[in-house]
Amino acid sequence: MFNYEKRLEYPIHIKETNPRLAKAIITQYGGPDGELGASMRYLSQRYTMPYKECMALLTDIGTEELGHFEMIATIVHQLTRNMTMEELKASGFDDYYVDHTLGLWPQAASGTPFSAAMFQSTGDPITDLNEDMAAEQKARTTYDNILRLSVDSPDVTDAIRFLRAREIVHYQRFGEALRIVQDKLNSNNFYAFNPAFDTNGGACGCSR
Amino acid sequence: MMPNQNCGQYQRTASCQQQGRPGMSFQQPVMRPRENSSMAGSQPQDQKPSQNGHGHGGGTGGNFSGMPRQQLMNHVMMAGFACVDASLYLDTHPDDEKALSYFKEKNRIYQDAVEEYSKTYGPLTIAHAHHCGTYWNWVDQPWPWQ
Repeated sequence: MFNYEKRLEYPIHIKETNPRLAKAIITQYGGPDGELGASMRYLSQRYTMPYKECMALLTDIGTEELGHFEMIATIVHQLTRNMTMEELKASGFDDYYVDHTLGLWPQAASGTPFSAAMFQSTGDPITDLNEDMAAEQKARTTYDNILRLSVDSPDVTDAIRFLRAREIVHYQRFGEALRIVQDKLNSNNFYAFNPAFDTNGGACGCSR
Repeated sequence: MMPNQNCGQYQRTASCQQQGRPGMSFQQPVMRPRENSSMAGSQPQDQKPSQNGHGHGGGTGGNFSGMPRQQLMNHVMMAGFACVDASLYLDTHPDDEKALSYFKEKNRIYQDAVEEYSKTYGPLTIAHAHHCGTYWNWVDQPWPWQ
């Protein structure tokens, strides 16, 4: 069960209009390393996670990512809500506008629509947690790039810095979760089997 | 032009830094908004909880009464963030008593602030919508992207 709380995780009050920047930042809404993919990844992976601490972590980080999804939407909305047709055309926002007007739609900056193919849920805790750690670093890199593009927009960079810091904290937590999983592995089968599926250890046929 | 190597004065917002493994020490997260952001003027509660004129020790819910809307929302956000960050740390360190006591303290402040905000300015969650009288004021509150 999920409940909505009528506030952002971190305050966003953007006064300027900047559709060009909005077109870049929307990649964290529905792009390959965006917040929607992050949330769906963790909330999908948790069902086959065999260890309680890691199940809790996937649930709680997946939930926080939904709050970040809302923050990104807020940034894009506030950057475009007051734009004129002239600004729209001059900024190159017209190819988004023609399909969505000013509506929010999950896509990458390139225009590629959001897809579940942007993340994995393998049912293998070691594989999934390694993907999760990589995902946090990829999102951190994207936020680095957004910060370089938004140096003249302090209202934007304030929120992006917060989101970037959360990627680093989540990476740390997923690293701890991977350590918890590793501590529960049979030392004879370290990394060599799926602890959520091969309950006898090493029963996947990978060794004779 | 060379890209800014540190991505624009990145400041650590929150972390529980690892100091070896697996025994880690818990560090209190601090939310540090920009000087001129809407949260300026509010003392980070982690640092000076008793110097903002609204002591939080009692947990009675009355500490926030009469506080302006934005200021009260800032308290909801700061305490709420502290709870989120501490809860992730506790997921991987469920027996860390120091972190647990930190979470309990922040969660009490958070609950009090949400209750007072909902009572005075309108519900933040459906569970807090019981304060409205004959009109469903959930629809009246500004949405967070506005």
